[in-house]
Amino acid sequence: MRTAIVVFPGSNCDMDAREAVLDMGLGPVDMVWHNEETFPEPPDLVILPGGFSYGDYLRSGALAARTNIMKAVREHAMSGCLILGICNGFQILTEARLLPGALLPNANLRFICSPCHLRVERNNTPFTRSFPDRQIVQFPIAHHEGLYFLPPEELEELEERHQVVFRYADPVTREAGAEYSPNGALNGIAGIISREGNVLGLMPHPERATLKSLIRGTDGRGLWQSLGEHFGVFNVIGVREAVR
Amino acid sequence: MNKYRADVTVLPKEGVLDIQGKAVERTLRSHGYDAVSGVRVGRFIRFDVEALDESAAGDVVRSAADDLLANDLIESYSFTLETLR
Repeated sequence: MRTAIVVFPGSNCDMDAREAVLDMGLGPVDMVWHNEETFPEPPDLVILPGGFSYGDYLRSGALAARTNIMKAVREHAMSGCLILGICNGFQILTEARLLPGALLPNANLRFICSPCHLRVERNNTPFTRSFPDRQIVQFPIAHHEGLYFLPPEELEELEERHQVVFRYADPVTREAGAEYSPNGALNGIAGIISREGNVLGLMPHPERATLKSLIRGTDGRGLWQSLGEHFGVFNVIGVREAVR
Repeated sequence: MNKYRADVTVLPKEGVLDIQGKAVERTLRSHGYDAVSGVRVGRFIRFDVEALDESAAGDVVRSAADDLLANDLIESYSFTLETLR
């Protein structure tokens, strides 16, 4: 398995993502500058990391979505390569129209940096296959534009096609939905997947819940475990081991 | 070639949550501006365009707005052109 992490001017979670991938034994990792027109080696997984690409000028992700490397990312997406956009990476994927919707300023107009609970709505994707059904996980969030928006009809279609993969949730009742959105996201949507099932974008940061020596929680390991299983790097192990 | 100045205004579409507009409206009202309603907060972008005529300049502005300046899922835009000497 080979991973490419795209670095835009203003990316600041690129090294966190690299550390997480390497810690999980999913290397090698190529760091790829946004001006490049191709990847040095064909990647199995492309990560668009969090941060503030181009200072969030114009709209979050708008300028990054129009860089050289995004043409290569689009081609890879079309050929079925896995693409993972985290936080600003999710914003970039929506701006590039590789995922539907847009991320608007948080409903409270504040930058929110906080631990956050999510419910895994689908565990039949390459990104989530190691999570138990409807697992509650804790990934931190850190963003100002995280209110997921899609016009009502398209939102309904998105739900009907089960493209919502992560939804903000209450860890005690395990209920999920708009009332648990820290940022006002419609239907409590924290992460979605493309119709083809190979492009995932989410606002929360699994890579910040991966290293055991860092901040509390390692639920993010379940996402990397899933990818490792998908690419045959890992044998399928007990889900409890993966998530705990 | 002629030179034109384009003034592009980008606003959140009707039906799209405009949190900033709402916050500004609340604050204005709390300052006694009871007559104010329907506040929308958007962006204003100005640039110059070289083109054969105003119609061609308009085409460039529309193309730039569709490609980048506005996200048509959530925003609409309008523009004016001024001939520069």
